[in-house]
Amino acid sequence: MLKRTRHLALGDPILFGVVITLTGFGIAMVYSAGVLDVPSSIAAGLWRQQLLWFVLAMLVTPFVLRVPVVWLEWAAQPIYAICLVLLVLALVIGTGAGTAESVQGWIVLGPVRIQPAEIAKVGVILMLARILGTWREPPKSLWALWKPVGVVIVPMGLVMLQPDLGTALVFTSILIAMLFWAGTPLWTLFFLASPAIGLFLSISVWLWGAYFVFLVLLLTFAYKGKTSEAAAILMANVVAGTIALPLWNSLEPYQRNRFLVFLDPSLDPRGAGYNLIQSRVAIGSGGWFGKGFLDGTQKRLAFLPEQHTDFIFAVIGEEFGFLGVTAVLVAFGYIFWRLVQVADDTADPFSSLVPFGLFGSWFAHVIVNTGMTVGVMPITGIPLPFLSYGGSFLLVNLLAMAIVERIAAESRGRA
Amino acid sequence: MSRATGKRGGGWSSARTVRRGVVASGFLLAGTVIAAKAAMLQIVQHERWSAAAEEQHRERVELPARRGGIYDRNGVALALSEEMFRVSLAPQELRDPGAVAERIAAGLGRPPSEMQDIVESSDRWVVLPGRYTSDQRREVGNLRGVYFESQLERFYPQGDAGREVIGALARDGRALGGIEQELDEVLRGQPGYSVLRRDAGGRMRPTMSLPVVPPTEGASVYLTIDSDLQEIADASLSQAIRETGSSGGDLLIGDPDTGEVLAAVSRRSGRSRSLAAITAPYEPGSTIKPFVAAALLTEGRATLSDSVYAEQGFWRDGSRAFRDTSPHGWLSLRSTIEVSSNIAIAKFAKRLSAGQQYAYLRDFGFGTLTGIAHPAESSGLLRRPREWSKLSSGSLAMGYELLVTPLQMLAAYGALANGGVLMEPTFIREVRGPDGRSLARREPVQLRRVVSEEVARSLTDVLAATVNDGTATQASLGDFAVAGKTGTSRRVVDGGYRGGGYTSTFAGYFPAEDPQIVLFVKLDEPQGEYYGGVTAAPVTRETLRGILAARTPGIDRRTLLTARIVEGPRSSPLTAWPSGHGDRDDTYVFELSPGLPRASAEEIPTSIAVPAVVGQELREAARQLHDSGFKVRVEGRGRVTASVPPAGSLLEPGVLVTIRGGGA
Repeated sequence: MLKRTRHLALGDPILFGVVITLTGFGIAMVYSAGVLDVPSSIAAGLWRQQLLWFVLAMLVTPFVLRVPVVWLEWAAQPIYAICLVLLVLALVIGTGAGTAESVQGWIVLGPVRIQPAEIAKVGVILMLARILGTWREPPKSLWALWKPVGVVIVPMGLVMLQPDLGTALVFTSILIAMLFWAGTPLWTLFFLASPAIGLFLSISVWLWGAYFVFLVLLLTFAYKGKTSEAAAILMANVVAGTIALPLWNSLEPYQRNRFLVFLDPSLDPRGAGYNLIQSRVAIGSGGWFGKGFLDGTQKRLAFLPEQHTDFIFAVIGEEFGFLGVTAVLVAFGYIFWRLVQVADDTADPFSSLVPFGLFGSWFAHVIVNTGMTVGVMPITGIPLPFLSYGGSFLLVNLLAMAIVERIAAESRGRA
Repeated sequence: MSRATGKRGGGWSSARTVRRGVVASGFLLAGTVIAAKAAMLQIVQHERWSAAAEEQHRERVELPARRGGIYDRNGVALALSEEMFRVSLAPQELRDPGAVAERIAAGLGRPPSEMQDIVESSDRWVVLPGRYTSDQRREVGNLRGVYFESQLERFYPQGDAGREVIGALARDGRALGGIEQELDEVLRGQPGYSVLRRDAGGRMRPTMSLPVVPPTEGASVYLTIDSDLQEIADASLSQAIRETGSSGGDLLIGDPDTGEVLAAVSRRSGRSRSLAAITAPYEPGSTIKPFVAAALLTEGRATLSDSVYAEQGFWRDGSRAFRDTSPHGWLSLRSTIEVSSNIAIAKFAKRLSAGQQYAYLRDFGFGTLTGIAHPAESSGLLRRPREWSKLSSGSLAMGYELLVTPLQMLAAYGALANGGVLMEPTFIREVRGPDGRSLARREPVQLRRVVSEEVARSLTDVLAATVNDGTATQASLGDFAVAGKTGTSRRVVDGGYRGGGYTSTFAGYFPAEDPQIVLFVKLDEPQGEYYGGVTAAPVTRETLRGILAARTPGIDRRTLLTARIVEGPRSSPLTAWPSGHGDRDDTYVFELSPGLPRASAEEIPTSIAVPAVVGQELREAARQLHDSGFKVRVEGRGRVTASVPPAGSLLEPGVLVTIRGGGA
């Protein structure tokens, strides 16, 4: 037993090493984010909590590593149910936290504050893996996707009610990634996503019109599916195009601002554009090698907002320069490659879908977060995995990584 | 990395290679876009973003340069820039309101009850009235919730003395008039700057590595003004204006040998502080007559004993009627000046060509700027001969049809006093750098020799006789001969002569034998007796008395004491003035001052008690000490809190007494 445990301890030690290193670096950056020339910074001393969560994760990891993947597959449904309950609870008794004061995303349990949405991501991944794992062949029609879509839509809707659009976006990414990995044809995914794309394009009538004509042509000549599906797809797109304006108007002003400011930060340099400009100033002034650990002036003088959470990548860019930015991106690239590799190496569909789902989730986090930091994405307040401050997020991610290690170990053991 | 095939049926996992390819290209693309954007920001645009960062948190703060001081000729400060503090309280931030209230009440001298109200108020921010010194600031110390805002402020240790010469500073530091404006570039100094680091909240923090350029203090200007004389002149003029009901007046005291102005006072109704003695020209009247005589003598057109017939007080010359205040028969040139006969001087003036008459007036400085340091000097008005009418020669001889400033008059009389050389009048003696090193020293500037020493000498004799026997008697001063001339002219208002409005002037110097002081007095619209002799001349006497009593070191008293030769008959001391002969402006006598020096230095009282001045206004105290014969240094402001040496000390006259006010 002991021998087996040791053998099973880490399926991909290098991946685990990279994740631990990245987390250690993240704690150092959270520490740096708290070292300011300005008195009473909210970020001061938070690194201790981050370290505590890290230690807790390391204590729990051995237990997770001993949990056979099959158990997880069995437990997927109850876990998913618990996640939904937590999300509903968050809406009822949830509180804001730190820089996301207005979001009802946290549940306070004594001294601990947990974010159900972060746990729900893993819950959804397990649930989706269980459902998609039973597929024997790729879905033939859109209608066949109702189950996985329904599984994601429910928690996503609850998260949007908090309201937390960024996290909701991550759920979409998880769904698409896992459907894709389960063999759904790209066309089907495209049609599935087409109303959302239409929603986005409806900022210009001409753009949306061209897109709609393209869609009609595609459905008429290229699509082999049922007519009812084609009609439903077009219908959904018409609806999306129609509700775009009312939907836009129903957005909170800050959400609209974030989008507009992404297109032109100088629209509101003191308000919504401020974060974007300050983030670019911090990163750009870092240069090749950065200003040195703890010595980022934009951070120290408190010009950089949310420097310990959403904009920690900007701190890295300022203090370690392009070198640091590249190193972090390469580290994430390695993690993603290994995740896909673990998914690929596993014969068992559930075991393969879980790491790929995690890839979908983290990939969305990394691209949206770093993209927003350097200014190629609109601002959506989602954190950078393993680096940003956030206790339950770190714990969940590290434990998810432990699951991946177990999966890798099991597939290696069986190989 | 062998690819496994699904055990639970191969369908969904059969196309993994393709899907891996899609995933790999997807995240490589995304990663590349982000890395490229990062490279764009950090490498290509690095300079730009660095500059943006610097601009955000670097703040260039100007360090104001302390403005140079303005001092009188003896180094007495007239205008100084001091760091003062405004004090504000944030009652909500105080730790121990009661203690703070006590400390501020004690340190800043505010009423304790008022402070108690402030610290207990619910206001966020309270600015205490007034400004406080750095000593007071130190006394309060650094307390949480108490804020000091430093300001460089101009203040005037001698009160209002000499303010019309000094000018003023606006609240924003701009110079308004006077020396402040004229020498602004010298006084202003060079502001420095420091670069501070600013955080996002706008708080400043100095950083060692950032540049600091200290400000260069402005240079100090030492004036020719003697603050004691200025004080005396001010007092005499004010008193005269009060007693004669005048609407205003000017009093200038100068050194005839150097052209230095020792005191300059102008008073006008209202609170105008401009130096009208330089900026406002007037028609001089009879005080111009000696210069006509100087032209006649130099050109050889007359001697002092040549006579003309004065027509018994009324003379019609063509369309023009001349009148004298008292009828005369034949008058020599000497007597013409002494009795100030308009008819006689007009007749004498006919002996000069228009060109000659013009040339002498111009050479004495009339109609041209003197070149004194003042931003708004008036040149007066002297027309060229081709613009003259037939009447102009006679008018000019009597002091009409031209406008002169009191300063031009002072300079012209100075030329008679010093033996015929017109000196350039000046307010400025020396400019010293902040370290006390002399940067520039003004040497006396001779503009030109106008008349020979001989002519100047003989005119001085005439003017001395005028004071003793003629129109200016009220100016004579016991044992000292004063050479001088009165003038009375109608005032021009809106281009016409105003009924009953007169300007009464006296120009003179003393002692006549060896002139050390040239003096000019003008009273505007004195009520009642308007002739120069009754109004302006006594001011001169009062002023000279004050000067002698104050033992001003600017005056060489040894020379004064030996120069007490007075020629000719003199009225014996009477008890009241003005007495004498009614409306005539030739002979007046006055009571001799008992305190005047009479014989030799030995007779000067050897010790005087310092009067008790504590509690008086500094200005009033200074005047009282001057009157007692002390030299005075004033420190601080407000009321006298102490005098050094203390009241009652027996001191030799002329010793320096320092009086201290509050503050500073």
